[in-house]
Amino acid sequence: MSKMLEPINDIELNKLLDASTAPPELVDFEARLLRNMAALRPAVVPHDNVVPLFKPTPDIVAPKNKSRGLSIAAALAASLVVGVLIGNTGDVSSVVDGLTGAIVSGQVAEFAPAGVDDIGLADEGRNS
Amino acid sequence: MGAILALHHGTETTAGRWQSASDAALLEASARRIEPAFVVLIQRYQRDVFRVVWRISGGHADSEDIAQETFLRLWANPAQVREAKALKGWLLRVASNMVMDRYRRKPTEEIEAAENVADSNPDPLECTELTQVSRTVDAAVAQLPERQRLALALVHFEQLSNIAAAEVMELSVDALESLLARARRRLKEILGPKGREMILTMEKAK
Repeated sequence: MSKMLEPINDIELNKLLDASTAPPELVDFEARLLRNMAALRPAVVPHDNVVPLFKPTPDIVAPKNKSRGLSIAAALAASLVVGVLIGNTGDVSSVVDGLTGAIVSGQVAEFAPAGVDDIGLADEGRNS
Repeated sequence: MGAILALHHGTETTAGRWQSASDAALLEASARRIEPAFVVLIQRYQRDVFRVVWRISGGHADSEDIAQETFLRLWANPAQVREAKALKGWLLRVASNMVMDRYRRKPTEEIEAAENVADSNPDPLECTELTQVSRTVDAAVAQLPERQRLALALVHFEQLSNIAAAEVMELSVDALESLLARARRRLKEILGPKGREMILTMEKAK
């Protein structure tokens, strides 16, 4: 009776495992597999020596950095605004005139390169 | 359908030429899409693959589909088997991974499968005593964790060496032996005193 309560040993376990249900026999496995293989077969089999041709497609390169595009647009817009403002007030022309006048009148002559004096002042020619 | 059967018949007759070829030659021919060579590989290993799948899936109805899928994967690229002598191991590994993957995604099905094996015919009056023993052992095996079940299927049922089974499972031999030991210990626990009764039943039936 005590042996009945003992756990089975390895040999007994092997005997029990051998008594487990055997897998069923395969029926039509090969034929079914061949049908599945046929379904998988590509319509056109590529040959070894054929180099596949690919239609060239243009590379559309998106801007790597969105902020770069934005900053360029912002800079253009800013320069346009500045240009319009300056154009309206006429400040630029007066600044340019002032500078030209200063150079012509000799106020900045000492900064001019050697030889400028020899050419003479623009006003001299005009006056004579 | 007739065309398919004719194709099948044709491949079967020409496959005869490849019967004695080595696995390496068959794999190489399969890579060149020579179907009769592949048919011989199917004939050689279909039962091994199916048995392992059937054992680890707990006799699930999907077993044959998984075995089919295993061969289709090989046919898709026979060159992926690096060593022809390891072909059987490769097939068993792919098949068992597929089983585990499938039931990991659908764990309830695994439980159902185990229950199907255990209780597909619960009426003892309809079973002989030996059939009842078989069903009880099946149910006990089905309760093992999948890795332990695979180790047991490979070593006990497929008679693979520990080294070969460890290669299939991509484990060290020590790890495989540990899995096996745990599987056997767990089975003894599950079967308990009923195990000894079943041994007596089997001895009486002899």
